[in-house]
Amino acid sequence: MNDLLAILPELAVTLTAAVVLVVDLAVKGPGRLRALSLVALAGLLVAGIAARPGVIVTPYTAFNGFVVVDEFTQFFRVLFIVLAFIAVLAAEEYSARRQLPYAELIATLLFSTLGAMTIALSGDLITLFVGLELMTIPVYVLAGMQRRNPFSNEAALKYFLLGAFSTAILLYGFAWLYGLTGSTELRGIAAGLASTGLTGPVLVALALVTVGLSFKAAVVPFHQWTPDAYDGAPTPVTAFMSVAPKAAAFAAILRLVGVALQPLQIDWTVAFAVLAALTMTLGNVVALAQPSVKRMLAYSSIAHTGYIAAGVAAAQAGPQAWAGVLFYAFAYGLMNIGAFAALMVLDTEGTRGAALDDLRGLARRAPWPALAFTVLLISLTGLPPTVGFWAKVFVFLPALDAGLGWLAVIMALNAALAAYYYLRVVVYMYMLDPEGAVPDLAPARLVGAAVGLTAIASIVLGIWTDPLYSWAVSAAAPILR
Amino acid sequence: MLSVPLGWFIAVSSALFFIGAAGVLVRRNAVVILMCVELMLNAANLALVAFSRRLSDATPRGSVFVIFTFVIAAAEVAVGLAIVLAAYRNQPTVEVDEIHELKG
Repeated sequence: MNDLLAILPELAVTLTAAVVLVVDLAVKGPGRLRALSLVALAGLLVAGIAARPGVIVTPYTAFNGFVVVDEFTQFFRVLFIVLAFIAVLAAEEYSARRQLPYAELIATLLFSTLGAMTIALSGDLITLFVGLELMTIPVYVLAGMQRRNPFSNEAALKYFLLGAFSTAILLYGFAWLYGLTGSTELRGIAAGLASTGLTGPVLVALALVTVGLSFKAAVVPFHQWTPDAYDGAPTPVTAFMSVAPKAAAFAAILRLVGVALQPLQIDWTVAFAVLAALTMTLGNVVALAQPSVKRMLAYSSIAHTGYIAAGVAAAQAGPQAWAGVLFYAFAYGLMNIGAFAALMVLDTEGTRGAALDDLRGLARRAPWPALAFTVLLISLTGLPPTVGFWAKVFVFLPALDAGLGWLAVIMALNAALAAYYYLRVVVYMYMLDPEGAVPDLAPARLVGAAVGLTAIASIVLGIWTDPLYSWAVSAAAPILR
Repeated sequence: MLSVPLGWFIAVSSALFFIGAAGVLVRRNAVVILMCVELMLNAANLALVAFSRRLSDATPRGSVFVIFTFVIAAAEVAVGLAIVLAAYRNQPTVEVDEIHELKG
C-alpha cells in the first residue's frame, strides 16, 4: 500500500489517460474536444497536487528499491506535469483545425509524461529503461500523428530509427553495467563499481550509456535527428517533445552520474565541457541561418542542451552546479514550450510551421501574443529580468568556479549569437510591415492562454527567483551524496 | 548438465551487437534498419540472461530485465512498422535516402 502511495502522481496521470480515452467514446457532439481538454487538465492538476510541491520529502524507496522518491523526483514530477498541462492547453485548437485525433493525441501525450516521471523516480536500471521507453515510444507516435502529411511521416521515421538505435546502444551498456557489478539497482551498481574500479569493460559500458543518453538529449554529435523531427512533427507535439524528453534525459544522466557512477570519481569535467561547447556553438550557428522560425527554435533547443550540459560539466564546483542544471531545465521547459505555442497562434490551415516572413507586423495583428512571444524570446536569449537570465547565471557561475573559464567565455559568446537570431524575430514582429495579403489569424484563445502563462511565469520567476532556485538546490542534494 | 562458459555467450552477444550496429549504419531500407535494431536489442538480452545465470546468487534481476525488454521491443516494432507503413502510403518507398522532404 505504501508502495502505491509512493507513485500516486503517476497513478493519477495513468488514470487520466485512460479516462480521456473513455470520454472520447462517451461524449459526442461539438463539446467533445473541450470535454477531453478539461478531463486532461483536471487530471494533471490532481497529479500536481499529489506530487505535493513545496513539501520537502525525506528520501525513501518503494517496490524493493525500484522506485526512489526524494526531492529530485518531486522537482521533475512537477516540471513534467506543468509541461504536459501547457502542451494540452496548446493542442486543442490546432488539433481541431488539422483534424488530428485529439483524444489519442492527449492520451499518448499523457503516457509520455508518465514515462518521463518514471525516469525521475527510478532507483534501478530497469525502471530507468522502462521509463525512458515509455516516454519515447509515445513521442514517435505523436510525431507521426498527421498520417497523411509527408513531413509528419518523415519526422516520425527519422526520430524513430535514431531513437530505436540509441535505445539499443543504451540497453547494451546497461547489460554490461549489470554484468560487471552484479546489480541493476543504482546503489548496488555504485557498490559494485567501488570494488571493481575503472576497468576497461566498465569504460566500454560507460561509453555505450553516454552515447545512448546523448542521443536522447540531442547532444552534438548525436543531434542530427533533432531539427527534422522537430520541424516535421505537428507543432503542439514539437512543443512537448522539445522540452520533456530533453529534461528527462538529463534527469537520467544526473541520477546515473550522481548515484551509480559516483564511486568511480571520474573527472567528467573535460569530456562534458567539450561536448557542451560543441553543442551550444553548433546549435546557435546553424540557427542563425534558418528562414523557418520553427526550425530555428529546433536548432536553438540544441544550443540550450549545450548550456545544460555545461552545468553537468561544472559538477566539481559543488552542489550549486547541479542545482543550476535543474533550474535551467525548468526554465528552458517553460520558455521553449511557450515559444512553440506562440508559433501556433499564427498557424493557419495549409501553412507548415512559420517562416520568418509570416511574422511581419504580427504586433499589429495580434498585439498580446506578440508581446508574450517577445517576452519568451527575451527569456530564451537570457536577458534580465526574465527566468532565462538567471538560468544562464546559475550555470555560468559554477562553470567559473570549476575552473572552466574558457567554457564560460564560449557561453557568453553564444549568448550574443543567440541574441541576434532571437531578437531578429522581435524586429520582424514589431518593425516590419507584412508583404501582400495576410491570411486571417485563426481563433487561438487556449494557445494564447498557454503562451501568456509561460510568458508571465518567465517574468515572475525572473523577478522572484529564490523559491525555484532553493527548490532546485534541495532537489540536487539527494543525488550528491 | 553441460555448462557453456560465460565468455562464449558474451562473444556471441558482442558479435550480434556489432552486426546489428553495422547494419543500421550501412543499410538504407527502413525495415532492414528496424531488423538490425532488433538484433542489437537481442544482443543485450542475451548478455543480460548470460550475466544473470552467472550471478544467480542474488535475485535474478537480469532475467527480469529481459522480460521488460521483450515487451518494450515488441511495442517499439509495432510503432515502427506503423510509422513505415504510414510513410509508405504517402510515398511508396522504404528507402530512407528517398525520404527527404525536410532539409537537413
